[in-house]
Amino acid sequence: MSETVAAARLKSDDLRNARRIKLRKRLIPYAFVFPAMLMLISFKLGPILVSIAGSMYKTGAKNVKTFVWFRNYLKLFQDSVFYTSLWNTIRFNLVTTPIQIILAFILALTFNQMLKGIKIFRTIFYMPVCVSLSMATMVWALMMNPYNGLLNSFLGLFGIPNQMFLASPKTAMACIEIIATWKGTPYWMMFLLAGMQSISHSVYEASLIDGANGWQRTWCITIPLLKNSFGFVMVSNTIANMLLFVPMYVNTMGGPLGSTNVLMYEAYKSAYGLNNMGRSYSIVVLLLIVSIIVVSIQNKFFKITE
Amino acid sequence: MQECSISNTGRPAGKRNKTTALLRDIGKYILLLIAAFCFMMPILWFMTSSFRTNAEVFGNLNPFSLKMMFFGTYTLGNYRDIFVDYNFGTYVLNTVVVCIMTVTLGVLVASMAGYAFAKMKFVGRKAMFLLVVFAIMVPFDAIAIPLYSIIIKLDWNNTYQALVLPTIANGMVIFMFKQTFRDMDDALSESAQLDGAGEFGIFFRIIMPISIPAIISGALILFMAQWNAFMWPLLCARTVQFKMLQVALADFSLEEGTEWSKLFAGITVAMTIPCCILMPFQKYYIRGIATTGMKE
Repeated sequence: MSETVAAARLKSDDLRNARRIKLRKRLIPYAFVFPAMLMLISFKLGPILVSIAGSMYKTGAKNVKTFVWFRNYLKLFQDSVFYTSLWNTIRFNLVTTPIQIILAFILALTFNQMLKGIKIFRTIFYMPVCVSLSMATMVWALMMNPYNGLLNSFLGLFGIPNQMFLASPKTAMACIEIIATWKGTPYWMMFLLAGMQSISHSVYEASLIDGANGWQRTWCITIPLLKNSFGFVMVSNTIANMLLFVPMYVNTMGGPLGSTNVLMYEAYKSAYGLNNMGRSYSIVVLLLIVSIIVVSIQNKFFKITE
Repeated sequence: MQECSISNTGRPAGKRNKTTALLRDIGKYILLLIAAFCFMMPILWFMTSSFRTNAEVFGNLNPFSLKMMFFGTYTLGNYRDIFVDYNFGTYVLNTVVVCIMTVTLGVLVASMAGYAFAKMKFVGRKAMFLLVVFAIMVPFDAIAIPLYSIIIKLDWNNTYQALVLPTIANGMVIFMFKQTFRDMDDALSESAQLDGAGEFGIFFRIIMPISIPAIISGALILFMAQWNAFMWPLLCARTVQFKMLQVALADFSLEEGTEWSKLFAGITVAMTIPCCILMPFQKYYIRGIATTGMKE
């Protein structure tokens, strides 16, 4: 009699244990993803919600917040400063992104050749990757000093008169484009070169037998097979250039005469210079919408994710 | 656009004239040298200038010559000054500490999540993974301003957690780990499971040790992002105790507007450290980013 009771108890213990193990098993995946989810929700999703909500409030005197619906956006759309910074951002992107990608592609093609000492050259070109944009801006700004700068002295060799560079509204943006290109091209080149090196040699060998020349190989093999790398570089580069902020903060302050005032700097200035959080958040939301659209286009065409 | 059909009338490329090939190679070298000059000149200039005095660097910039770029008396004075007079050691240490914390925590958090997404089945998996993909789409700098409001609400201004935790929320690294683990054979972990190992045991004792390349990739992505970060440390770490190297350099250039060779010394230090880490491992860095962005 007592034996059966004991057996039954044992059985129920087993059952409970099994259930506990099952529950543990079902909970374990959540333990694995929880820290990451917590971070993403608080520091990625959170700020987005804050900026969407904040863009609909106006902060008045004594920090009193009033809900104003979309009036911050309407005000933004009537503001000529906003349009100038929008145009500056677009112009910067239209010039810098193609130049960087074309240069990066040409460099990657050259580095993909079997030449003696090519590794040394490659290493040299990776160095700007380690120079942050803020440091690059500081160094280039000194080189571009209008009165006592390395670049003017170099141009003097060719009889070109002193340029104002970053100090003139006509050339300031072009100078920042040069700095960004100097810093960005080697970075994007790394990815194009990696893509090229993953193209199998047999494809090229087959084309050699068919009698394809160098140009044909580039047009018909390299570029089509680099589709994914190009897609990635284009999108990441567009977004990086759209959110450019550092050269303006470190050097031009958006000037001279607003010629280098881009959207990200305008958002920063609105928040901490003009104390107009609503305006700043509205710009942030607009930037977010554009970057999400740009990446979605990449997803559609290049299928980066499942 | 050139036609992609190939006519067989041309000479076979293998029998190309030797002299033309040589001339072509020389042309390529000239192109490379010009490009190398353009890209190296700024770096060479600030590196050599960091060992010379301000007067030597800026005193005779005209006319342009190689001499003025390199010659002068080389000293370590600038380096001594920035470390002794300008607290530079603190900023380097801050940045190193923040980077180590970011890399360790970031790799741990992202690899665990990546493992769950790759090898486990659970309710809400799809929705959570969608959040990861969404996080990849949202660039960090774009949300820096609203993020700062959250940090102020949490009273985290000028703290390590403000610098480290938002950087860890990196969808790209999670995605990279997920791809790595997905392609991994299940045989090892299954046999360990039969031996009675738990999921955590399997992950830390078996999966992690054979995923070193992915760990290096993830660590490098996080490290480079944190080391070169500017906007975020500019907003949330302003005190000497937490100021990061990049911000410290920008402050130095804005405040000590004429001590250029000292600035160059600082820049040289700030660039040498990531250079020494990235150069030997750049293959992993590229591969890590490539798994996210360039999947077939």
